[in-house]
Amino acid sequence: MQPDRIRSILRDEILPTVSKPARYLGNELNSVHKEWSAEMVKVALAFPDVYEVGMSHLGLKILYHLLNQEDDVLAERVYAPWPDMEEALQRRGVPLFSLESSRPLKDFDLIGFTLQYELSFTTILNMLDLAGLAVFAADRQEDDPLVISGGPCAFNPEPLAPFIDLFVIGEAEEILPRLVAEYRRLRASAELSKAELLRALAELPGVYVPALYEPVYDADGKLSRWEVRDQAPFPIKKQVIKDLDQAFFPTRFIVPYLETVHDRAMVEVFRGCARGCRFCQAGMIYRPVRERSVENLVELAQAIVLATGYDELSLVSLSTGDYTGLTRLVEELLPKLKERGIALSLPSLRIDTFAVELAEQIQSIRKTGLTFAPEAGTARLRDVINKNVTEEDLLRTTEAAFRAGWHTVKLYFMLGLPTETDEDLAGIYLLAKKVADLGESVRREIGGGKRVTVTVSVSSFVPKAHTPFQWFAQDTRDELRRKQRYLESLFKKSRGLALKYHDVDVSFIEAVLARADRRVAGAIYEAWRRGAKLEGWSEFFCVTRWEEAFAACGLDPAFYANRPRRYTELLPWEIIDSGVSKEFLAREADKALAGSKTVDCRADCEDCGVCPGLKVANRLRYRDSGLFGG
Amino acid sequence: MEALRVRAQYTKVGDLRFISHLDLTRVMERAVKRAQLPIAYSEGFHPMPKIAYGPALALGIISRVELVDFFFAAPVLPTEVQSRLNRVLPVECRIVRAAAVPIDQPALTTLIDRASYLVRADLQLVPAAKALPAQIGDILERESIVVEREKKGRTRRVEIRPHLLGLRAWVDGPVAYLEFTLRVGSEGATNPREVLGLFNLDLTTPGLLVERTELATESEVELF
Ligand code: SF4
Repeated sequence: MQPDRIRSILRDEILPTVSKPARYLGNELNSVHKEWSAEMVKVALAFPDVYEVGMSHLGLKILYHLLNQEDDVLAERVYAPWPDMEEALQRRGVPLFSLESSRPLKDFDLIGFTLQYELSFTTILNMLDLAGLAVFAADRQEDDPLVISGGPCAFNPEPLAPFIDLFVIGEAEEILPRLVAEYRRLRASAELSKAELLRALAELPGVYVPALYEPVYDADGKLSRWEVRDQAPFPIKKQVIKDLDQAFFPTRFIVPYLETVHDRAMVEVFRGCARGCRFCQAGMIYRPVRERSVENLVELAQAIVLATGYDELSLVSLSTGDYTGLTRLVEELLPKLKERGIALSLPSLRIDTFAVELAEQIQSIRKTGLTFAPEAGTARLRDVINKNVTEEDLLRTTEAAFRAGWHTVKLYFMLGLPTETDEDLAGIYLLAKKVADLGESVRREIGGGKRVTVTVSVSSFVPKAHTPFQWFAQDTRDELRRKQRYLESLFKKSRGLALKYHDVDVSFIEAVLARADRRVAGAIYEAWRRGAKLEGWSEFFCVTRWEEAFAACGLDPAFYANRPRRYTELLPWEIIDSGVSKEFLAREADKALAGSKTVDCRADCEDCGVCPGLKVANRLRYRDSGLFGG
Repeated sequence: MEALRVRAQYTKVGDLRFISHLDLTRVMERAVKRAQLPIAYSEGFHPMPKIAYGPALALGIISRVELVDFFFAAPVLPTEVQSRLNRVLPVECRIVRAAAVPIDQPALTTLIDRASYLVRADLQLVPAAKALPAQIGDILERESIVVEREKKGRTRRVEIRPHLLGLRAWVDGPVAYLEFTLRVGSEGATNPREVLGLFNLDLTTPGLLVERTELATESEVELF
């Protein structure tokens, strides 16, 4: 279908009737509209969720502007349509199209899906189907676009392997421009078949072409080895940027009309995290820590707020309080922003007393939402997961926060962590109660104010690939439900304490997909065929669909979610080398069971293998700040 | 502290009809920031730029007569407000005129008490609209028109006849036109959706283009 035709159907017939039509306009401030020509490499950047979620994602924004910087590359966006829009498109036979030029996705050379969470997998299939493409790579035509994929979930690409032509592993800023250039070169130089093209692209570092590798399983269903075709590289090594200050970072960000989940200007202060929490995949796969300089950040921040007009600037990273230049940065940035009526915000600030002082200074963090993540209820279990927060820390910080005027505190915990007992669960309650009591006594002392409320939010632990807990079983759903009920019984009698927890079925499916092998692709397909899509939205998630899908494929989901693995077992994601060695992960798993802690590796290298393996290093800008490790 | 109040008339046409009034307020705030105009801020923990809008325009309706008041902390020429904003606003949202108004004048939402609309119906897509001229006589003759209005999940029956101040319809070639003036504001109001409903039409009917053509006040105050 011609873009003009799509555009007129859209404006005249569809947009007046669907919810939030601004999702589909594509002409937001700073969006890039390029002339289409044959020489261009055309990339559709796809986010498998709706606009408001996708437009909040920093990584994809960076890629969009990075690719569009090149004269002979064109990148456009596409998000999952909301069901009313999907229905309207299908009724009129309009294929899924890109926002900027209203071109069908089929007209692009590359379609790139970002993989941020497991529950988005079925939406990828749905978007391919809406684009008029076969969902299985093997069924697609020679001249169909290459479907590529990257992001954290690509660190276990196997469950998506049959659908995707090529995965990029690691930081896309490092890989994607090279991939696009190589694609152009190969396309121009010879008449290659798609298989030959993919084989050639597989030579690029960080590129995984799943069709070149065939998993072979044991009689008992475990992976026994890989059949590697055509001498393809094995394993695929993650690619990283060495120096963030040298890396591209956009300033003319697209500014959505709609309010998105994170509707603000963002600068990334550093990448990676060295704290080594044993459950955390981001902490492992984004190593090492690479900080930007204060000068660079101040310059970027000023350019961004001027180009976007946002009234809030966010300093983002996995743990912004760990930035060694934070005090200097805030001191320099704050007056410049205040002058222009722009607030500064620091999400993912690991809250300590320093953070409370900082927050007071910034005066822009609303005094309603203060969050802490002790993750586990007792010191013993916090040692197991290597979450180095003590009860004294937490109480000292919350006390400071209460004195500074906060009255609502949110505490995050996980249920079902390795070695967890009911005593640890009781610990969650006791800790929350102590915080609430402390809040009340501060309130009485300073004479009045709002009653303190402590909200405890409990998620269920999902073991992730490439973490020390990758070998552990997730608690069964019955056990998780029992634990939730037990917690509920404890919290029932307390005033000022609220308990929230996540849907156990959702965590179960996440656990299956997070450590799935290639066979699970069949279940993803079956679940999608039964209507699964947009499952990050609780109203669209349905576990029976998944149960039917597993049954249809003869798979036992418990094999993936609830089975402990031995260190000697070949894991499906070992085809990906994150740089963190298996020895290190096993050592960390052993230490977890022994309840022994591992220090922040910015203070002392713990030999995880990343730095020598990827020829990088923790890059701290202001080592004298005394902000880490003591 | 505000030193100056500048009133601007702006357009919301083309694709911008698909963004809500709330979305438009964000467009405006960001434009003011990008144009680096000396906007005044409200007091308090979360200072907000002082920008006050006229009656909100429903999603789907276009207009060239929207009104907004900017309060500035430092003197700035209205013509400069206009040109600097137009440099950063989307093309579908243009400031078409701007003038200083007395700082103590009542708010736009208080002043404006009537709004006019023009509906264009493409007869190919909405053939029933041919009957519009025949239908309006009947409606104008009615002494009472009661519509159902939903609010917080409860339906109320509301008399709107007194709020319907004028109604005209004609056909010109392939297009049928419907023009009406409504009372808006705190003295009671109706809206284009309710008026279209009288003809079994809706803002979402494909082939209809609804435009707000005038915002006016019965008071002595000059809007410009
Ligand atoms: S090699 Fe050492 S310093 Fe580098 S990320 Fe691993 S533990 Fe940290």
